[in-house]
Amino acid sequence: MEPWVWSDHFFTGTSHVDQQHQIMVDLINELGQALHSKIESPEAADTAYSRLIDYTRYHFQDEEDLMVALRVDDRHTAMHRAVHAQFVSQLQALWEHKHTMDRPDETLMAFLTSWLSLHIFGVDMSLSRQICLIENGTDARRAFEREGTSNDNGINYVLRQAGNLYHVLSQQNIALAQANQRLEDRLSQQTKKMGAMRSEL
Amino acid sequence: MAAFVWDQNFVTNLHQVDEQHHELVNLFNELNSTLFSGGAHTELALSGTFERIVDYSRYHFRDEEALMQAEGVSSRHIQMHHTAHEQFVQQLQTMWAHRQSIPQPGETLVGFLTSWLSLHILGIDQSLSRQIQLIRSGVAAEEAFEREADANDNGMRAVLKLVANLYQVLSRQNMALAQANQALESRVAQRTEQLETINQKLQQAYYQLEAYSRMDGLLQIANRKYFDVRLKEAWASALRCKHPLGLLMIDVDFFKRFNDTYGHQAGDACLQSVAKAVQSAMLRDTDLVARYGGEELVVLLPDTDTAGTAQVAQRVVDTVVAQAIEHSASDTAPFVTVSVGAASAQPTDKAQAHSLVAQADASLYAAKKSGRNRFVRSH
Repeated sequence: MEPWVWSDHFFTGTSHVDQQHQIMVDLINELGQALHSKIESPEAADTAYSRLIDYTRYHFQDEEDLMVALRVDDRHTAMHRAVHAQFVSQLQALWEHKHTMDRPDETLMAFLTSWLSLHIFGVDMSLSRQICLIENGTDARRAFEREGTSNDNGINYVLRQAGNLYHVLSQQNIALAQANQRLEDRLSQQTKKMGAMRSEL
Repeated sequence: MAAFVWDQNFVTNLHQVDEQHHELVNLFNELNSTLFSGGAHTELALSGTFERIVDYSRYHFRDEEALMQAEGVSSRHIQMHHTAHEQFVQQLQTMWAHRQSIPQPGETLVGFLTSWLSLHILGIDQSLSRQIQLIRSGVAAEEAFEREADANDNGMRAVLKLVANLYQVLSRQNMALAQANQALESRVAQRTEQLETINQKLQQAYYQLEAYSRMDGLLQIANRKYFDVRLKEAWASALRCKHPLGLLMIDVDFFKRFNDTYGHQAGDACLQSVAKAVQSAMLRDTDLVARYGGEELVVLLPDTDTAGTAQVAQRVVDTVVAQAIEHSASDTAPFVTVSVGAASAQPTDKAQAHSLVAQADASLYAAKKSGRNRFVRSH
C-alpha cells in the first residue's frame, strides 16, 4: 500500500494545527504499515491504533481549546466538537468490527485518509478563515455567517454535502455496531445459560 | 430542513438524464414535505413515497446504463457506474429496514438522498457526460475514460473522489453490519427456541423428581414426608376457612402373622391391595391416602366433619373386607381386615395439626382393643 503523502492543500495557515495534522498523517501511515504486515507482529497494529487514537484526541482537544480561546462563534465550535466526537466513535466502531472486512488495511486507510482530507478541506479551513477574520477585527458572529453564504462556491457546496452524507452513514453505522454488540452479548449469555442448563439436566 | 435545490451545476446536458434527475428531486422533496406535514398517517405515507423513490431510481438507473451502452462508453466506466447505482439501492434499503434504530429516521433518510444524489451527479454523472461529449466528437471511448482518471489535479474532482472513497467504506461496512445483525438475530431466535426446549425438559425432570420424592415406592401412594406437608397445609387452610378436617389412621390386622404365614413378598402384595382398596374408597380428589409407616396408612379428609369421617371409615373397613384376601392366621376373620381410627376437628389457633393424628391414633388403639375389623371415632 502506498503511504499517504501530505500535500500543501492541507495547510490551514494555523501553524501548530498544521503541525499536528502532519503528525496525524504520519500516524495513519504507520497504522497502515502495521496493518499491512500484521502477520509478522499482530500487536504492532493495536499499538499503532492506540497511538493514533490517543493523538487524535489530544489534537481535537487542542483545536477545541483554540476555538474557545479565540472566541470563535459557538455555533461553529459546537458543530466542530460534534464532528470530532463522531469521528472518534466511528473509528472505534470500525476498528472493533474490522474482522468483518475483506481487506481491513485498505478499508481503514481509505476511511482515515479521506475523512481527514475532507475534514481539513472543509471544517478546518472554515475555522481557519474565521480565525483570520476575527484576528483582523471582524466580529465572530459575522465571520461565522460569512461561511454560510459561500454557497456559490462549488467545492464548499460539495464539502457540505459530503459532511451530510458522512454524518448520516456514520450515525447508522454506529447504531448498527451497537445493535451488533448487544446481539453478540445476548448470544453469549444464552450460550452460558444453555451450558448451565445442560449440566443441570 | 432545506429540501433539494436544483442549480446549473447539476445539468449534465444529457436531456433524458436531466429530466429524470428532476423527477427524483421532486420525489425527494415530496418525502420531505410528507415528513413535515405530520399527522397520523405519516408512517404510511412515508412508506408509499419510499417505495416510489426506490422504483423510480431503479427505472432511471436502467435507463442511464442503457444510454452508456448505446453511446459506447468505456466498459470500465459502465462497470463502476453500475456498481455505484447498485450500492445506492442497497444502502437505501438497509437504511429503511433499520430505520427504527436511527434517531430521526425521516430527516436522516432525506439527508442521505439529497447529499448522495448531489454528489453522484456532480461526480460520476458529470464524468459520464464529459465522456459522452468526447466520444460524440470522435475521441475513442477508452481515451475519454482515461482522461477522466488523469484529472486529479482539479481540486473539485479530487474532493469528489475522496467523498466517494469515504462513502464506499461506510456504505460497505453498514451493509456488512446489517447482514451480520440479521445472522445474529436468527441465531438468537434459534437459541431462544433451544433454551425453551431444554427448559421444558428440565421442568419435566423436576416434576418427575418431585413426584418420586412424594411417592411411596412400594404402594404407589403418597409417602409420610408428603403427608406431613399436606397435613400442615390442610390444617392451615381449614383454620382460615373455618372448615372441619377429618383424618383416618388405618392398620392391617395381624399383619405380622400374615408375613410369617405367606412370606414377605405376599405381605408386600397384600399391602398393595389394601392401599388400592383404601384409595378406591375415597370419592373426592382432594382426599389424600398416604403410607404412614409399616402396615399403617393414613387418610386426610379436607372439609369433613365427624359424621362424614365416620362414613368414610366404614367404607374403608367394608372395601378391604370385600377384597377377600385370604388370611388363615387371623383371629378376626379368614381374610384380611383393617382397624380404623377416625378423628375430625375444627382447627383452632391453639391446637396443632399433630393433635388430630394423636386423636386418630388413640381411636385406632381403641378399635384394636374392641375386636378389630372396625372403626372407632374419637369424640
